[in-house]
Amino acid sequence: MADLGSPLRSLRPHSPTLDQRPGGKGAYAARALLSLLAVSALLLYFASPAGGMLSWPGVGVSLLSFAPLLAHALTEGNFLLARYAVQSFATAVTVVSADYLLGAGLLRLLPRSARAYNAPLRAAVALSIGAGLGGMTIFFLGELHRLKGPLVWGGAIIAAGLGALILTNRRAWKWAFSFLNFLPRKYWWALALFLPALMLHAMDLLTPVAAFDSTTYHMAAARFYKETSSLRYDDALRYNAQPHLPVLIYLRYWLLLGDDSLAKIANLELGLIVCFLLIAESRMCRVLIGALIAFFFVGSSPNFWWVTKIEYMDLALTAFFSGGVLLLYDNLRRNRPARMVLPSVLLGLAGACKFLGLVFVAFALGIYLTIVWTSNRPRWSLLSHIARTATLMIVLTGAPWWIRSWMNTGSPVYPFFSSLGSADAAQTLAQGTALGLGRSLQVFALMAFHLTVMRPFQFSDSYSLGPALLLLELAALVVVVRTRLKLRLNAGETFLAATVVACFLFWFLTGQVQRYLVPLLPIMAFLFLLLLQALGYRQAQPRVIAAALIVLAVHAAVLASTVRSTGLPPPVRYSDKDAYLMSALPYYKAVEHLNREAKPEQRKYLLAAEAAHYYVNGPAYGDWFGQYSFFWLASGVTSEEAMIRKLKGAGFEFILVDRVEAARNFLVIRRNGPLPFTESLYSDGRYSVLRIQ
Amino acid sequence: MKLVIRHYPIAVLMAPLLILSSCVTKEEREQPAAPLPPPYIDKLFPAETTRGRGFGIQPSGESAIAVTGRGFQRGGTIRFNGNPLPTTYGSNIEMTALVPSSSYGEAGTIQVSVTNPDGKASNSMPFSVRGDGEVAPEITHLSPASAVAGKPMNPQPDGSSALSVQGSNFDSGAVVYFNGVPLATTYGGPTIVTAIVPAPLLAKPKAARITVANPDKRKSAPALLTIK
Repeated sequence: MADLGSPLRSLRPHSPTLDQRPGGKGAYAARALLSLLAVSALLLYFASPAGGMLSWPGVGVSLLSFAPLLAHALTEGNFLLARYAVQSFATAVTVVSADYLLGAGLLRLLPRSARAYNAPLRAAVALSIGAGLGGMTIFFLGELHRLKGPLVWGGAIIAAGLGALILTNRRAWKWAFSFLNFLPRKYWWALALFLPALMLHAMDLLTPVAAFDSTTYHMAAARFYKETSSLRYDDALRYNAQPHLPVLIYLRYWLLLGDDSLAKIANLELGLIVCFLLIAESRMCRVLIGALIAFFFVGSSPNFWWVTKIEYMDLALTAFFSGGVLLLYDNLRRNRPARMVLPSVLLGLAGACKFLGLVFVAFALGIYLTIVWTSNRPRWSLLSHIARTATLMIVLTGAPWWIRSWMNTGSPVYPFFSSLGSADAAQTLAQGTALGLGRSLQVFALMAFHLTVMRPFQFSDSYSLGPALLLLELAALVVVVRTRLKLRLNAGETFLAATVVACFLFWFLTGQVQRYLVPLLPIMAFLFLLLLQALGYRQAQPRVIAAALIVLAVHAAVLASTVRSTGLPPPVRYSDKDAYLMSALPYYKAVEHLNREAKPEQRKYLLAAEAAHYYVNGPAYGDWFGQYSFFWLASGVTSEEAMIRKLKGAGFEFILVDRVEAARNFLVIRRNGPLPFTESLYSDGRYSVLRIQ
Repeated sequence: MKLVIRHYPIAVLMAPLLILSSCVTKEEREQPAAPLPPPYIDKLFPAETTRGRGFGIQPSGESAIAVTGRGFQRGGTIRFNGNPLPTTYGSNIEMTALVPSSSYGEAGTIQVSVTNPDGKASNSMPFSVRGDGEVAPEITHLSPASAVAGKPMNPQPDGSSALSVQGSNFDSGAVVYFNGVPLATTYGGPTIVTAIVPAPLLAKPKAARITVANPDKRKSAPALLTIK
């Protein structure tokens, strides 16, 4: 594709930018100051309620106490868990290899200019394309009502074969795997330190589905698609009309590996994309042990580790969005702003993950266009080429979702601009602004501090983002002081910084849920590396900073471990899985009773128990969204009798109720005592299963 | 790495062999549940209290005990002499429970154990409820923590030196000792006593051992007062 760009002028041509600043006088003092600040941030985190969720002795004790438990679990039953783990991960590696071959093959078909990125970045793009196409295959198989395991396997084999066919010659093969030459081999000692946490992480990937959003709607949707072999729309599932490509990626792994617990092994592939991106970042700037810094900067976040162990949308969004942004940065760096095909494909995949992805993509593209416009003599042909290519690619990847939404709800962006979804839209906006610490200037100024020290439940999260943003701000402060406020950024650096700021501002003003910031972590890691480069860390190793980050990362990985928090090894036997779920999910026993008593086709209502959706057989309703939402139920109802009659009138035959939450959210429901017109089939003091009479 | 690139196809072909050789069959997965090891208690926090004296006081005013060990499962229960307590699961290595005041109203030893949801019980760990005065005093803080040789420390109106000793389990009649020399001591409560230090004891630079002894002869561990 012809390069339509003209040479970029830097914003201030005679001022050195971050990557051009020399070391020298004052650089040593600045580096020492940053090291001191990094250690202070580390100590602050561990002294805070967020870091105090697991003490440092607790990290060691956790790892040591799990050693005999896991050793027993791995070896009993003729090494049952060990074989299950090997089988699962070996199959996952095969799938990842197939995706990579396809992606690399398709990349090879592009003109050289369109694919001229550094080897790790090419590997990230190839794997993203493979994973994204894998997910879209599930979409189209689902729309054709052909969603079955053998077809999905066939697709994976064909994909691998196609990729291998394109890469048949030796030169292409070497090109495809050249990223292996850039793996940071000299960091094996750091990985060895991290090995126990990585082994714990591997065990976490084998645990059953248990996270709240997973059981409420992500995996509930996947199960519905699998059981109907189609991508049928179900408004009982929250956000079912919105793009949810990662759900299909998880479903793909479920069908390929044959076990719902193993769907989250897809996070291995998505995590690998993020790792390639971090290595690519270190190649793009000259910081000693840069890949190590980038990896542990991102790994210092407990929330990041948490999203790698669950079936949420955020890890996929992180991989695709960061990849797209890095490709755009590389365009600006190499003065090739028109090279839009691959960045747009990745940003399109990001937009297909969730609505937040679309917003972030819009910010990134808007800033990119602005920078190209201000950096160049305005050439409308260049700008229109960029806009056209980006729009085309994003529409190609996102349009299937928008068409599906429009066909089922009348709006391509349901619940917005839809007469059906006005209540859901209002609820979405209200829910977003209710979360977090407020929107004042003071809160904004101290947000990095709050994200480091505050207990995550204040942001409606299970784990905190950690000190990453605080470290980035401290590094920026040191560089600004060092340059005596004469800091200049080149076009690429401006793009990265502006994208992070814009996305952060949007997050701050809307739903302050910490995991919504996880997609920015790899970009923040890159900015951190660029700041270290400005402080002269291309001659000196940032050892103290690396040590602080490794300590944070080990703590974060162990803190967020599912196995640690439940105290149970991943189950293999079905009976072990039941026992695990009984222990991990307070409603599971009630769900078992409900499934025993109710036929699958009978309608059930989950009253303040929407988290149980995944494990309930057959159609189940009850959520803050959708046709039979809690708002619908509570509207115009002034007594328990009226509520039960309303459910009966709507065709519901069974109720699973969380009496504690129901009493809190529905003032007509009492905490204790029988509910009228119902027969109690099960009660454990909190959860009850009732048959409507 | 060149070796890996060259032999990547072989590596990929080995993956199916690994899968087939490790294959877990449906029959294996349908087998009965595997027994997990029972829970084990390492420590109690605290491990003792005095009759009627609360511990680990919560915002609600109730006492709480923390148990650390291994193999704890969510849904498990901490038991005092077999009686289940309202338990909060922390992780596989720690749990806490609220302890009703009736549990530590009388002196004696309570056996603390943990029972997992699968019915497996842990070892028992003793929790001591001592009678009044049965607990040794503890020093946590000296005020001042140092003095200058030959000069009064914390001078009183009459020119004497006063040493404030803070800690826990001080009984009425407790005496402060300065390198084994008893001092005139004023009892301020279970957590603070004050003693008058004669000037000759502060004449020379040294590190003085300060201890507190209750009337039942139980002594605290020494704390050091530095005389510079």
